[in-house]
Order: sequence, then structure tokens, then C-alpha cells
Amino acid sequence: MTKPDIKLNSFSQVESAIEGNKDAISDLVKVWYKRIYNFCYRYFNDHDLASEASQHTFINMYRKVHTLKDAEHFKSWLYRIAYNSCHEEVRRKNRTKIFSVFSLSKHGDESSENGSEIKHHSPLDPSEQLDRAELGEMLFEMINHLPPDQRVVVIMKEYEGFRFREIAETLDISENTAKSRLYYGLKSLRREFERRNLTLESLLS
Amino acid sequence: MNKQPTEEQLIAYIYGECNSEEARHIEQCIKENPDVRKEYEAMRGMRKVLAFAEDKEVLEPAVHFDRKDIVLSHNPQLAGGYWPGWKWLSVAAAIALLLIAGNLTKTNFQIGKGGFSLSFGEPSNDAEMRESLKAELLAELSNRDKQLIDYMDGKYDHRLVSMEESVSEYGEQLDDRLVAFKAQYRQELALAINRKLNEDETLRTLMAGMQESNRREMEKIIAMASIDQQQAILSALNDFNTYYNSQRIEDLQMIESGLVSLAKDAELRQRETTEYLSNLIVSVTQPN
Repeated sequence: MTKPDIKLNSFSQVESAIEGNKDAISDLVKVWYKRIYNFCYRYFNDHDLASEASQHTFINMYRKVHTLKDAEHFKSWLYRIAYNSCHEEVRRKNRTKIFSVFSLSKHGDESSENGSEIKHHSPLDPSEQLDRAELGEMLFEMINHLPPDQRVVVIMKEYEGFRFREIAETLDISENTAKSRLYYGLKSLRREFERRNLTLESLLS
Repeated sequence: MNKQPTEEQLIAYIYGECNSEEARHIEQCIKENPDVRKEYEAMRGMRKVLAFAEDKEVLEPAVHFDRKDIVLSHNPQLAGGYWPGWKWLSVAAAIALLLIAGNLTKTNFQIGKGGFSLSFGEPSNDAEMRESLKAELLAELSNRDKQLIDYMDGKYDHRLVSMEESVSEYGEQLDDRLVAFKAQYRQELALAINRKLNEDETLRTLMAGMQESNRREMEKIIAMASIDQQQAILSALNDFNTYYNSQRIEDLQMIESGLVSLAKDAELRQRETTEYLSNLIVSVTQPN
């Protein structure tokens, strides 16, 4: 798949931000906002939660950027903040009881190393054709129903163009764990398509 | 047969992140082992499908720094009000909103001599209202005329009867009473006629005022209407004026003829009374 254009972290810009240059920080927000928003959106499949988590990500970035030792690790560092912001958003919603587990994932945020069943939807009639937009929305929903630790790896690898080494660094796990989570994540998604009577061949035809 | 690749090796190969030795091993397995090949094809297919979940478009927020923190907002005003014109723009927007709301609710606001008025909804039909009031006024005036005539008739009859009774009972005083009666009657008649004429004058003034007011209203409407509508309204106005004038003339003529008739009747009765009284005096002074 097409990787996002990640020529985003100009080292000099990041270094200026580390030194407290507000213009550089402002530029980093503008450059990275769309990527972080989409990361959060795929995590929640919800615009409001994604916006909230994105806001917190950049507020934390501003507050902590001076602690970043190496500008080269800015991307991993920023996504770790984003991932933590997503977790924090889930916890906040759970605390205030506003957050409905049904609106996000039926799995909540319980980690699962192995692929687990994705939530149940009525199988589709094989003759039913899905257009591109419908398939896209279905995918957002299916990704959102993956266990959080598989979900975040799928998102980082497929949509944010991370290498396994970077995923491992960001999530503080081993590369093999990252690969394994991705493998089971993809497998769960494949099973869910099969359960809905959708073959990959028919989807790609 | 090669040893099957692990899940991690296969996924690394699919994403192009394994070393050349591992890659050769996996390629061999894919070629030789149908299960591995099937798994590999399925994973690759799945990756292609995932591409359909495209990025959502989102506006970059405006960035502003307050004393302690960063503020991100999609509302430029909240993000620091970079442009002072926002304030005036919002005032203009509020006024525009009020105007739109006023237009939608058909709010009418008027200040005139009669004070200030505020109303909602379709404006009332002034022309119809005026017509209605005019008809009511005419009916009221007509009723009052009738009452006046009845009153005068009744009063006259009463006086006449009273006078006849007086003549029969007090023959000696008839001359004095007759003079007094004549004077009083003439005075009352003059007053009644004057009152009637005043009423007519008031009516004429009122009608002239209403006519003028109607004319002005119609001129306004005509000014706003299209040529066709203007012609139609002018025609209707002319018809109305003709009808109104003829009606008014008829009314005045009727009132005038009533007054003339009344005066004639009064004169006749006066003459008859004089004659009757003369005969009575003769018969009293020359019995047999």
C-alpha cells in the first residue's frame, strides 16, 4: 500500500522545537496534525475522540519536547505520546461513564496477544457489491474491533509507514512481538471478512 | 522440503523487512509448500484490501500560545484572535442573523404618529379594513339620521297634539299660545336643520379625509406595483371613486329632499293649524 509521505520531521525543525522555538513547534503541529489525527481516528473510529486525543498529543508534545534527547527519534516519540493519549482518552471516558464500550471496541482495552473474534455482524449476501467507500468504512470498523495492541501495530505498520524496529521502539516491545501482533491482527481481519462471506478475491476484483 | 517459516518471518518477508538469506528461504517455502503459499497470498491480499481505509481529511488547527500552554483550535478566534476584524465580523453576522430571522418571521416594526407598533406575520389588509370601517361609519351615520328624523317627527306630533288639546281647553289664550308655539317651533326647526347641516358637514369632512387617505394609500401601492397592476388598481380606484361619489350624492340628495319635505310638511301643518284656529276663533266669537 502507499505509505504516507513521512518527510515530515526535519531535524533542524525538531531541534529548534527542542530549544523552545514556538514557530518551530507550531510548524511541527501543522505538519504532523493530519497523521496523528488519522492514527487516532483509526484507533477509535470516532472523530470526536480522535480530535480530543490529537489535541492532547500536541499539548503534551509542547510540554515535553524539551526533554527529547535525539531529534532523530521524534517520530517514534510523538506516536508514543499519541498512543498514550488514546489510552488516556479511553480511561477518561470510562471514568466519566460517558464513554460507551459499544461505541468503541467490545474488547475495551484488554490486551490480547493472539487474534480474537471480531464483533459479530450479519454475513453479507455474496452477490452484494461493496463500493470503495463502504469497504473503507467497514475496514475502519473492523480495525477498531481488533484488540488494542494488535490494532495499534496494524495502524502503525499499514497506515503510518513504520518499520518494525520503529514500532518496537515506540511501543517498547520487541520486534518479534510487533511482527506477531501484526500477523494475528491481519489474520483476524481476514477471518472477519470470511465470516461476512466476503472473499479477498471478490473485494479486489 | 524446507522448514516452514515462522509467522514473524513470513510477515517480515511480506513487508520486505527480512534479510536476503531469510528471504530466499521463505521464497523457497512458498514455491514448495502450498499451505505457506496460501497463507502468503492471503496476507498479501489482506494488505491490498486494507488500502481501502483511506486517510480522513482534516483541517490543520490554528496554533496559538498563551502564557503557559499551547492552544490548538479550528476556530481562529479562540486560537488567539489574530485578526481584530473578527469582532466586527461577528457583530455583522449577528445583525445579518437578526435581519434574516425578522424576514422569516415577517416582523413589522413601525413608528408613526399613533406610536410604535411591532407585529409578526403577514401584514393586515389595510384597504379592506378601511372599506369595512367606512361601511360601518356610513351605516352609523345613516342610523343616526333616521333617529333624528324619527325624533323630530315624534316631537312635532307630540307638540301638535298638545297644542290642539290646549286650544280646545283654553280658547281664550289661543293667540298668545299660538305665537309662542310658532316661535318655539321655528327655533327648534332651525336648530334641527342646523344640526343636520352640521352633521352633513362632518360627514363630508370625514369622507373627504378618508378619501384622501385612501388615495394616498393607493398611490403608494400603485408606485410599488407593476404597470399592469397599476392600471388594474387605477381602474379599480376610479370605479370606486365613481361609485363612492354617486353614492354620496344620492345620500346628500336624499337628505336634502327629506329636509325639504319636512319643511313643506311643517309649513302645511302650520297653515292648516292657522286655518283651523281661525275657524275656531270665528265659531267662538260668533256662535250661531
